[in-house]
Amino acid sequence: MKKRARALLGVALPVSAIIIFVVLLAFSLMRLSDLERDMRIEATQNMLWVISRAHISSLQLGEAVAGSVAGEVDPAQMELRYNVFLSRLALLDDGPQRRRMEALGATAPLDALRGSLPELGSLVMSAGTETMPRIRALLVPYNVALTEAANKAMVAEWDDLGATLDATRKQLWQIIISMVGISLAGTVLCFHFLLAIRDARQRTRLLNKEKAFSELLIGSSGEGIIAVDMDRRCTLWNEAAERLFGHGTRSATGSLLRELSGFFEVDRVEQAVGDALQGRAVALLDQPFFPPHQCDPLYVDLRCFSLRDGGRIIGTILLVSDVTERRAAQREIANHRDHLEQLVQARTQELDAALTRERATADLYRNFGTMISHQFRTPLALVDSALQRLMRRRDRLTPKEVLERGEEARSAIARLVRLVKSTLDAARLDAGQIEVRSQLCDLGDLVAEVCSRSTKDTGSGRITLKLPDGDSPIAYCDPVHAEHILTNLLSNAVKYSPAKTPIRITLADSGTQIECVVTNTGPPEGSFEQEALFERYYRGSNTEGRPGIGVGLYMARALARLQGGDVQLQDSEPGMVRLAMLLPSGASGFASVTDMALRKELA
Amino acid sequence: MPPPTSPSILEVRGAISRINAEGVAHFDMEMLRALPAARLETTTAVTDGVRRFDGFLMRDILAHVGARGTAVTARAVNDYAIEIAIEEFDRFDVLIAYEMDGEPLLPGDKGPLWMIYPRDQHAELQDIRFDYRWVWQLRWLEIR
Repeated sequence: MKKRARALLGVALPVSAIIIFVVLLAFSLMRLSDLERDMRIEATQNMLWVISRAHISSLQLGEAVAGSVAGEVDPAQMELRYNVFLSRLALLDDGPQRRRMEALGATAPLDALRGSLPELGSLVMSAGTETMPRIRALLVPYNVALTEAANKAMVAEWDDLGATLDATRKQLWQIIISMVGISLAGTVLCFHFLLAIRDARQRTRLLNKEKAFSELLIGSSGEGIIAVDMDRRCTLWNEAAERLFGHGTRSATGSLLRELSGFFEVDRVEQAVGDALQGRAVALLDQPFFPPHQCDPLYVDLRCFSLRDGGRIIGTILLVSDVTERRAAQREIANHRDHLEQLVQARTQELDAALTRERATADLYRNFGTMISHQFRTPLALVDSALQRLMRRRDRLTPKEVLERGEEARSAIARLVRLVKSTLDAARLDAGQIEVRSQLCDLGDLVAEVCSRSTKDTGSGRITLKLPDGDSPIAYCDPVHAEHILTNLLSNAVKYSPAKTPIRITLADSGTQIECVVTNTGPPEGSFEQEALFERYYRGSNTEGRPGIGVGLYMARALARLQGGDVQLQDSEPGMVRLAMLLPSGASGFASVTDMALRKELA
Repeated sequence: MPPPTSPSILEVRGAISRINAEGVAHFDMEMLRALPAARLETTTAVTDGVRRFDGFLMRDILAHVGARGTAVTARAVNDYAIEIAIEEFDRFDVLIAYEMDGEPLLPGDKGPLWMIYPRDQHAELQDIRFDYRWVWQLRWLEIR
């Protein structure tokens, strides 16, 4: 509030002082101009002199007439006097003088005299003692009137003069008072201006101080600060810019930007400066910059802002900050983060795998439990029933019957033992305790042997073997495991195909792999899940009532894969099941030719 | 300079080189009209309105008589006398008129000769100190 009042006073006081000053000055000038005009004196104001000259000329005429009568004045002189008299009379009758005389109320005797002028003229020219009284009678009223007029003119002139002096005095006083006012206003103004000068000096001092401080700030800024004018000529160049671009402040100031560094010739930078010169603020981040005499680039952030003077753009200010270190740190952090992500991903994968394994294990145990409950209980029940019968009919049984029952029980036990062995085999496989000794092996011989043994076991002659023409295929495998696989496939075919249906075995060499395919009549399509077939303890829906623990195909595939081969369920004609054992060919690079030759020789 | 053929109406005396009598140059109206004619239109202090005056320039007659002085005393028939610096006639076209509005000036009025200042042409001449130089019924000029 106080500040506002002070500001108002600071403006209102000088303004009102100036107004008073101007008004009083104008008033004084007007008054002075009036005075100057009033000071002119017109000739008509000199009426007293005009009247007195007329009076004298009239008296001189009278005197001349008297002289003429006495014979002392010649006619030429007489005429001269008369002419002077006439001239004065005419003068009194002229415009300005006439009006004055009217104002003085002295025109009637003049007009009367003018009416008698012809008479007076002739009387004067023929002056004699007899005409004297008449001339006198004509001139006396004129003289009397002029005396009165002179009297009045004097009074009027003095009155006028007095009035003029009064008016002038009044005007002078007004001017004097105005002058006093002007002086006062002037004093106020002077005082105000002195104060203003003092304030201005103080402000200049403050400004200089602030300017010095700004210069210090700009100078000690870690950021390069550069200002350019509309022609892109440098007007400001601080020490940080000097360190960055290698030009001193003195040499840089006044130079064109592009002369100072190639950095400013880069299209993006040039455009950024251009944009800022047109009023748009621009920021270029992580701009590479090759400093002089240095191979590695620095990275700088460049920010451009318009410099404005009121609404007009007068240039641009460029802030250049070196962000090389920050950028390196950021890159390191990013690398670290990537590394962490990889770690987390790997760990997640591991955990996922562990989880899958755990789930598989859980499934395994569940399947194992199911399998045990079915497969182990059946032979045990057989054994139990055989023993029960033996015990119950112990008195009536013949030795042959006892033997039969014993055989029954033993066979069930043997099956149980086989089941246990298979289970153990699977466990050993899981534990990685199965050893693989691959070598070149004549698969034709091996298949033929297994077939003949199976035919002996099944005794039906259902199995047919078809070997390729020419040389017997040589595989690179462990013969023990290969035999195991083939046995499993065959027993699987025997077990799950209807009795007396044919089982076909074919052997083929594709060059890189030896393929041994076992085809049998199978269950209707879709009665088992294709891949689940190879899972441990999996038993298809067609296995009801058939002995088995569901590890056969699992073992077969696992063993084949250990040797670089596989066991696959292949597409086949409807109603048929086609299982193939694939093993690497002996010529596929798993074995050398010499090894093979040696093997042949030994054979 | 030849003497006048009719009665003299203007006498010039004093520091002059051309005369036609004993130390005097007499002029009659004919001689005056023979001088280069000049015309002036102006108001006067003693009449109303603008008047047209015909006559000759003061500096022409001074040159005509070969005046060498610094001042002129102009004297009227009633012995009204005014002294004027000669250089004033170079500054202003001061006229000695013998006609006003085409009519000869009469001896019973302001004639036959009236000294006229170019009052309307020069503001400085509108002054009471010049108004008294308008000598009418001019009869003598004395050069000193």
